Amino acid sequence: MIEVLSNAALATIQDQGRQGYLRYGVGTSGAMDRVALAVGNLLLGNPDDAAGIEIPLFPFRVRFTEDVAFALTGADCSARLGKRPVLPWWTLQAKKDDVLTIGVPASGARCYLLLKGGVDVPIVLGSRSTQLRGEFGGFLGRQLQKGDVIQAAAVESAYTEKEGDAAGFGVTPPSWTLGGLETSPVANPADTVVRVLPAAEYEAYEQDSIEAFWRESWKVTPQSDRYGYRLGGPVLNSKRPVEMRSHGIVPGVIQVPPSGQPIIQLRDAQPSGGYPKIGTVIEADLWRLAQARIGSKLRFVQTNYEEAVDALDELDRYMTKLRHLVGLHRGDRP
Amino acid sequence: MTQGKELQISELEQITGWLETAGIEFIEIGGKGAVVRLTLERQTLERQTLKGKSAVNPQPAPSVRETQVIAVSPGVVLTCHPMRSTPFVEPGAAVRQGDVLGLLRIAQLCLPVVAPCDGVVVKWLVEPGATVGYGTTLMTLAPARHL
Amino acid sequence: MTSIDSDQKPRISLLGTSAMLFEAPGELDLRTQRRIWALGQRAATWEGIREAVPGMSNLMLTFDRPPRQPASLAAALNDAWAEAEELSLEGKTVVLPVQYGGDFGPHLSDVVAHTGLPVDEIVALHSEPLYTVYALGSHPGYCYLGGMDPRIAAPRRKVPVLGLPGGAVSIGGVQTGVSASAGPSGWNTIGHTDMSFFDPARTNPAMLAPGDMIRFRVERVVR
Repeated sequence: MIEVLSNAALATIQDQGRQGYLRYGVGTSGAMDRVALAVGNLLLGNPDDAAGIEIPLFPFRVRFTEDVAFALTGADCSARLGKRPVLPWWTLQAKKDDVLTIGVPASGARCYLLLKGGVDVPIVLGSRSTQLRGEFGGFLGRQLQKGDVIQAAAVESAYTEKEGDAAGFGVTPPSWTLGGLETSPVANPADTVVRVLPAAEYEAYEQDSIEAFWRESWKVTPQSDRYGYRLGGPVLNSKRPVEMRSHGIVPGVIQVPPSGQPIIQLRDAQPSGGYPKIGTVIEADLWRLAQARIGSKLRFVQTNYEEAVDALDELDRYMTKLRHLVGLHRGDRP
Repeated sequence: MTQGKELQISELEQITGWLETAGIEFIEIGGKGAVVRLTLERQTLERQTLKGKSAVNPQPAPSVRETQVIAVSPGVVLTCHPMRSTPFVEPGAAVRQGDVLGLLRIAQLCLPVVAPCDGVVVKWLVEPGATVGYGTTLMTLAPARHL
Repeated sequence: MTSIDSDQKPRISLLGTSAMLFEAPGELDLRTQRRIWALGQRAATWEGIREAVPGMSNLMLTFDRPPRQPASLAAALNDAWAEAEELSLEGKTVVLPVQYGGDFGPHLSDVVAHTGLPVDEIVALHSEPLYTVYALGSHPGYCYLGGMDPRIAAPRRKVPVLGLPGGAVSIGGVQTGVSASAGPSGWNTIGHTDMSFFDPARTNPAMLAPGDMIRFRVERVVR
């Protein structure tokens, strides 16, 4: 249904992740920005578990080999279908031979291209997400390359364009509803703020390291990717050397290796590790992290468990509302 | 999505809730073989202002060769995409049929305001952020310049 | 080697709202690990728990939905631990031929430097035991092994090394393991073995399971 025209773009097929195989050493993978993937599927009326294409490097071009509806969510990347601009957080009908050009985003780090019916690749261990380390899942277990042809799952009925549909429709971005998070008045508004729960080794850190952790802005260094974000900032020192036994971790865990520079473990991280953990970015804020670009700054805000669970509920309510709104608008469309 | 989805009573309640909040008094919703028409009856008809934005401006009679761009939905008029600060179009811009001139926002839903023909943007007839009803004239387009 | 707080009670902590981590006190030994296996088997059936993931004398429980009362879950874990009896998972024994040192063991010299032991003694101490697979983790099919001689323990590296090949035999702290695929590692790589550890087409995709045993056989030592 689409042919990849760009090379070496680091793009991968992802759904919401591969659950239940951590005990075999298989991490969840899945979309870094789960909200963008979910909203894209909603716009198309796809099942929630439909897979899409995560695009972290730009520009990225694909050619539609058949008529198909698509959606583009995540960062605003000045996309064009042929010559026509494609708005962010939008769904549109593509015609055979249309070329979609996804440009460099003005802000944000990655965008998601969804196809009607979802990307059709085999389900491996319960998911279509790409397991890069294990080289399975997604598109042949690897990043997309020029010449790859990606199919969408068949839809029941052929699309018949209704009057007024040609320009498509969209939704406001999540930040419009969910907002940015406040830190201190002196914080740079361009910094990405995420909420963090202290982890088991939090108390093991020197007091001034702990203060620096919350106070400073942390740079997302170029060595940051789906495995983890390596951060640059003050060196975090523990009171005593900490040598830990290997234990399970999840995306969001902030490890501190001996260098003292924290690493936020993300979707392709190892499912276990042995470095001390100072905190965990809450699951409800991982989508914000996903849109923090290399070179940008992060700030951590301390939260508690109840607030973190409330934040997940807030996300759920947002998705439910969108589902309702979009469902009403899509009405009797296939 | 199921085929032939009918408007549920709970959805009707939600829509009337939005309309009341937005100060819209009349809406028609078309569907397969049915049209639902909702009218909000009030004791007094008041012009509502929303948070400092003015309501629909009195519309001048359009000139014969100008084209009106009509709202095909109620909603809040957006002249820029929520993620951007530059407007879709500026007065004097040449547009092609099908170009997106603006958006109508209903809660989080964004519907495009589309140029019905080639032309040149004259001006917006409503303020950004104004809530409009179905059928409101939003903008006029002058005939396309011949290049 | 113990973690920074060494007391007799288990330590329980949260990993955000996604998981709870249970760390057993005391030594990293087979007896403790067998009780961890038992705890994991039991906790895996509890409501709201997506998966029970054993680690090295620890257990991570991932949530389907975060519990509103994590203290109740923690209490349940403590109770279950107190009752946990050693689960005897006696599996198969696999012999892995290993080439130690040289290009395949770039950090063998670091282990020599840290331990003060010569290469031959490190190889002998590493290949002598019958190791038990304590848990899988890190990457698909990777086995964490128990039973390494503490004399050849060497701390994890300050900066993880990228691009280590599958089959890399490494030491990290008091643990040893074999990587199942190419990738980064913060451990000290001392050798190489050829073995297929994972097949995603199988219902049970890992070749080895907790309770299986591994013996390293010395094929070659490059000094």
